[in-house]
Amino acid sequence: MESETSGLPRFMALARRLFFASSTSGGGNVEAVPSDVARRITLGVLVFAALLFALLIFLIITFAHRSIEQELTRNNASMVGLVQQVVAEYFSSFSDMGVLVSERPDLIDAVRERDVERVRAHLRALVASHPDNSRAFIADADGVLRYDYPVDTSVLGQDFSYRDWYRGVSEDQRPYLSLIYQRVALDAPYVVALATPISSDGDTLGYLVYQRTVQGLAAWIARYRPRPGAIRMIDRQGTTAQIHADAPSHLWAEHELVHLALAGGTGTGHGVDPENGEESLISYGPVEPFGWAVVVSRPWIAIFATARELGWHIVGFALLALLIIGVMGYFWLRTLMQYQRSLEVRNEVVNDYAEKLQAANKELESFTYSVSHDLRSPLRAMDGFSRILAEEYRAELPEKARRYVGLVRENAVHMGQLVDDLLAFSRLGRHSLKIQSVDPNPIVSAVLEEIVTEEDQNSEIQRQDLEACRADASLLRQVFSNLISNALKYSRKSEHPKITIGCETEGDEVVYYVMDNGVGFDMAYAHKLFGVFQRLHRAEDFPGTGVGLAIVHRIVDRHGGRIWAEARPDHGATFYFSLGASQ
Amino acid sequence: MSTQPLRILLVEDNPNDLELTMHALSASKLSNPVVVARDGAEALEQLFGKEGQATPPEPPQLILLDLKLPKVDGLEVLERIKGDARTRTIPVVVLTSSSEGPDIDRAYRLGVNSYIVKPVDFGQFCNTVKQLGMYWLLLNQPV
Repeated sequence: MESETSGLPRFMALARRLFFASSTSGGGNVEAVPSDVARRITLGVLVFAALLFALLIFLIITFAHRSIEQELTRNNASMVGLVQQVVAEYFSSFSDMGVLVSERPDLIDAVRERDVERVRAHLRALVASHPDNSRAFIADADGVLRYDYPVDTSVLGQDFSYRDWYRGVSEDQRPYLSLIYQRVALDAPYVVALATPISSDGDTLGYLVYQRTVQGLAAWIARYRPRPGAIRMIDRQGTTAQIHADAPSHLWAEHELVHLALAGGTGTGHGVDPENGEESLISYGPVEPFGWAVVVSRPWIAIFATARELGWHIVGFALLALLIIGVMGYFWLRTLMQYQRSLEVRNEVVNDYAEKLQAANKELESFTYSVSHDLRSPLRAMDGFSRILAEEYRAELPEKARRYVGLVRENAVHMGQLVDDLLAFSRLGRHSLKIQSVDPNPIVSAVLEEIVTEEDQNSEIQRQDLEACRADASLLRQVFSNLISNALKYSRKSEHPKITIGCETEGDEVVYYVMDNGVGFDMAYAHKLFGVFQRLHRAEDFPGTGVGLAIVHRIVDRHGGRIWAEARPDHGATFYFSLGASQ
Repeated sequence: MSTQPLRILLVEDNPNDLELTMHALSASKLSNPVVVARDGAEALEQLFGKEGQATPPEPPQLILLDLKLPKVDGLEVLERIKGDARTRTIPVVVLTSSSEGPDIDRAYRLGVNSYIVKPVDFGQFCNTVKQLGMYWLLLNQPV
């Protein structure tokens, strides 16, 4: 097939081999070798596609991981920044409240006058001012506890100058936030204390100390903690505020990042959370100006699980997309393939028909050969022997017998004519058209010269100039010959026989016509005009075999044109025909 | 040149056509002897002799050959005649009922001298036979 050499069909053929290598091997068209090669190519393409896909997935995941890690880091850092602010605020208000109370003149007076009740009332008010406050007391300038609330008589008069808060506050006489320590009084919980001096006219009367439990502190900050993860408040010596631990934790004390934070540094890094031993993302920062540090620690694996999950989602989506694309591509190709195959099948069917048609034509040819040969032989015998009979035995035959013999001969000759006409008609189907531009005028001249006989001396023949058309010249001649001889034949009995040959142009189409003023015919039988052996007149009136118009019709048909007639009995007939477009 | 009257070989299987042709020949006053072969094989025998026969018969001066023949087809006979040096120069006139098929073309390719379609009309047929006899036997100068 010629189209096999063009691009797409060749691609299709290759693709079909790829896809149907095994299924079409039985078809005979596809040899084993190319399909084997094709299979190897297919495999190579598939492996390549898989590798490409894997690389793509890897890149996507890597990219996703990196951006997620960056996002987590940023998130952690901003979280620790927030915690720094919140804790600083908290400590500030802790401190401010102490300063506020220590500067109350009434309290200063009461301390100076040693009015226990009034001092205690102030302490009570201070403790009540914040839910985390657990206890307040006032020590004298030497660190000996003088007043407290709630009251614990066991510690009254005890010297606490060894405490961190005392050293802190007495050093520069400014409010001081203590380290985490275990107090002695009232169940001895771990606390953080705020110590602030009480002074009057430059003399230090004593120190106001009030405490918040570490547990409360830890519980408060825990409200802000990320999940999973933790926020740790760490004092200047690395002690961590814990909610549940019986003893304060020093686990963070040695941590490198905590050292950085206590030195005033801020940052985020990977490290092991000393509390649970997990690899974690740790952000740290100082709580200025209190010298503490805060840490936001989140276990890496746990927080990255979300990222991994996302990664798998991406992989899943990619696989799904690939699957969909693959399935769609497969169906698309398969549809193309099927279309191609159906075309081929159709081609085969068409070829098959063409072959059958050719065979039928051949058969018909040999049939017509036989017909012409085998029908004409007996006719010739009939004619020949009856003629011999009529001529050589004339004397011995009665008049009637001579007439009968004559009729036999006449009929044999007529049948010979029928056979010849029929053969001419059937030959038309096999005649291949040689279409070219034809000038009908010389054709009509030649036809008239050939068919106008002495019988037609009375006939007036009018001719118009005929336009050229595209046709097979010899067949066009046949058409004019048949139509004009019909016109002559059927008008011969008119008083003034007249024939007009002309043409009209209808758009692209040239319509020729042959008009006569002869016997015409009844339009009711017009549909029978062009049938083989169909006659609208009796043979004794107008001789003929009834094949002429059938031949004309067939010729016009083969040119893709049309033919029709208009007539009235005794008013002549006009035959029109066109051969399709003029050029 | 022999002084014998020119012999005609008529190859025709149809008895009616044979009789009519003979009638037409005699009607046209051609007194030449006619040898009849009823099929292609017989025609070949007449021309080349039976197998094993030492001397082939005297060749005819004109061959009238029908195409549709039993046993050996007319075109085959023609091919043998025109393919053999001994018979190549004998004028062969194909006298057939049909103008159909590829016969005309093939016959001329094989070297037929004339191709005539027998008319159904016996008058015309007689005329035809007369004319071709006149032409090939009287007018035409053979080798």
